[in-house]
This record gives sequence, C-alpha cells and structure tokens, in this order.
Amino acid sequence: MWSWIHRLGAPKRSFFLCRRYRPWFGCLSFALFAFGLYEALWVAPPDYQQGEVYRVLFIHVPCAVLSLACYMVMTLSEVFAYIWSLTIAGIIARVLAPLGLLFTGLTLITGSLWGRPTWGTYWIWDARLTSELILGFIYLGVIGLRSALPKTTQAQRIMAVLTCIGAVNIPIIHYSVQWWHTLHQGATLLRWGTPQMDVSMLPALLLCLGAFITFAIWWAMSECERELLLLKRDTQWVKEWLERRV
Amino acid sequence: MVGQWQGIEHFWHMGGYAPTVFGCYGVVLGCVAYTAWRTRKRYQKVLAQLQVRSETGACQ
Repeated sequence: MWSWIHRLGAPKRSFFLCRRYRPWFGCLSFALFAFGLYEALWVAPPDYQQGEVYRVLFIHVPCAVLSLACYMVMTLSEVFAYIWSLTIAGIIARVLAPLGLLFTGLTLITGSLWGRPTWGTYWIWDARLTSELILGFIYLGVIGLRSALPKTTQAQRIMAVLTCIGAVNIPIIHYSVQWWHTLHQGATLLRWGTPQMDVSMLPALLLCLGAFITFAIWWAMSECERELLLLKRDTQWVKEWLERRV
Repeated sequence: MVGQWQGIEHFWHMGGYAPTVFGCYGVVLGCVAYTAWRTRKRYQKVLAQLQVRSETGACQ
C-alpha cells in the first residue's frame, strides 16, 4: 500500500494528474455555482421564521464546512509529509492554509451579517463563534510561521507538529454547539440521522456545498501544479513538457 | 411558489433584508472570483517565466 502512496505522490505523476483533472473540477464548480445560486435565490422558499435572510446560510454553511475541511486535509497532509516525506503532501499542506483562512474569514463575515437581523447582534463571544475565530488566528499563525521559517526539513517538521497541535481546535468547533449552551444552532448536515433542514431547501445547500468543495479542489490543484513546476523546473520531465507546449 | 420562476420582483420582496443577502453573496462570490482570477494569473506568470527560461536555455 505504501509503495502505491509513493507512486501516486511522485511529483511527476501528481503534476499530470492535476493537469488532467483540474479543468473538470473548474467546469463542475462553475456549473454547480450557477445551479446552486439559482436554487438558493429563486427556488428555495422563504423560511417561516427568518424570512428571506436565511438565504445567507446557503453560502455561510459551505464556507464554514470548508474552513474546517481545509485544516483537516492540511493536518493529514502534514502527517503524510512528516512520516513518508511525500513532496506533494507538503505542497498540499502549504497551499491550503491561505484558502482555509479565506473561508474562515468569509464564515465569520457572513455569519455576523446573518446574526444581526436574526440574533440582534453582529458578534457574541459564543463558543462556536470564538472557536472559529481562533481557527482564523491558527491559520494566520501557520502562514506567518511558514513564511518566517527557512525551507529546511527541520522547519517543515516543526510546522507539521504545530499544525497537528492546531487540529485540536477542529473537534472543539464542531462539537461546541453540543458541549456548551450556545446561541449558535446545532448541526444541520453533519449529524447522525436525517438533516435538520426542510427538503425544499436542502438541494440549494447541497449544490452550494458541492460548488465550494469543487472550487477548493480546483484551486488546490492549480496551486499544486504551480508549486510543482517551480520546485521541479530543472528536471527533465518539466523541460520536455515545456518544450511540447511551445 | 417553489420551483417556479418568480421574476426579478422576487429580489425586492426581500425588503429590508435585500442588502444583507446580496451583500453576503457579493462578498463571497467576489472573493471566490478574485481568488480564481489571481490563481490563474499566478499560474500563467510562472508558466511564462519557465517557458522563457526554457527557450533561452537558462536551465541548461
């Protein structure tokens, strides 16, 4: 199994895999955004309590899910990079941090804009909101440290350990609504049993979630391709590929 | 009227919430579009640099 991981994680193979599938994810993301926005703004009926303002949740929830997912993938990649010294895993961990920070920022902005008409306040030091804010600071710390530390194996290992320590915050964010009495509502999708959302609203949320996930994959693939090209620019396969493009 | 085209008027029926809803969608979609554009631009820049480098034989 491990040899399979090494084969798949080889820079050349990873580059051509990204190159092959990236346009598909780009097109899929675009289509899902189009359908998702149509469902979210036109088709989904107004909520019986919140009225129209609940439509913000169709973009808030995917941003929140991705802010957590980016960190989880980052941590897994750091583990793979630390234990198996996989080049592509290190690159994935590096490129996902800014995207995770972007989604964390968007989660906090859309959440507070939705919170004002719904809760009567833009911000409250609630367990879910505070732990999400801490996630934003962790992302900032990871990005800052990575740019400050030299690009040595030891520095990469330090980053891997620190990223893994930061991952403690992920279950805290997810279960904060169960562990403490919070103003934030409980889990809608990521829970055991049926989703706590009406079936007339669910397609819009799932389409938007799919659009954001495929966008994140497209983005990560683009960044991985760029990083791999820069890293392996003196290798024969990159030279041959560039010559073929001319 | 689920599943039916409700026209542009539907937007204005959001009343006081229209700026909040469209503000959120604008911020998020703007960020996503800008990130996609910037990523593409950065990739093209690297590609152009490497191609110049390859053509001038600087990497040999």
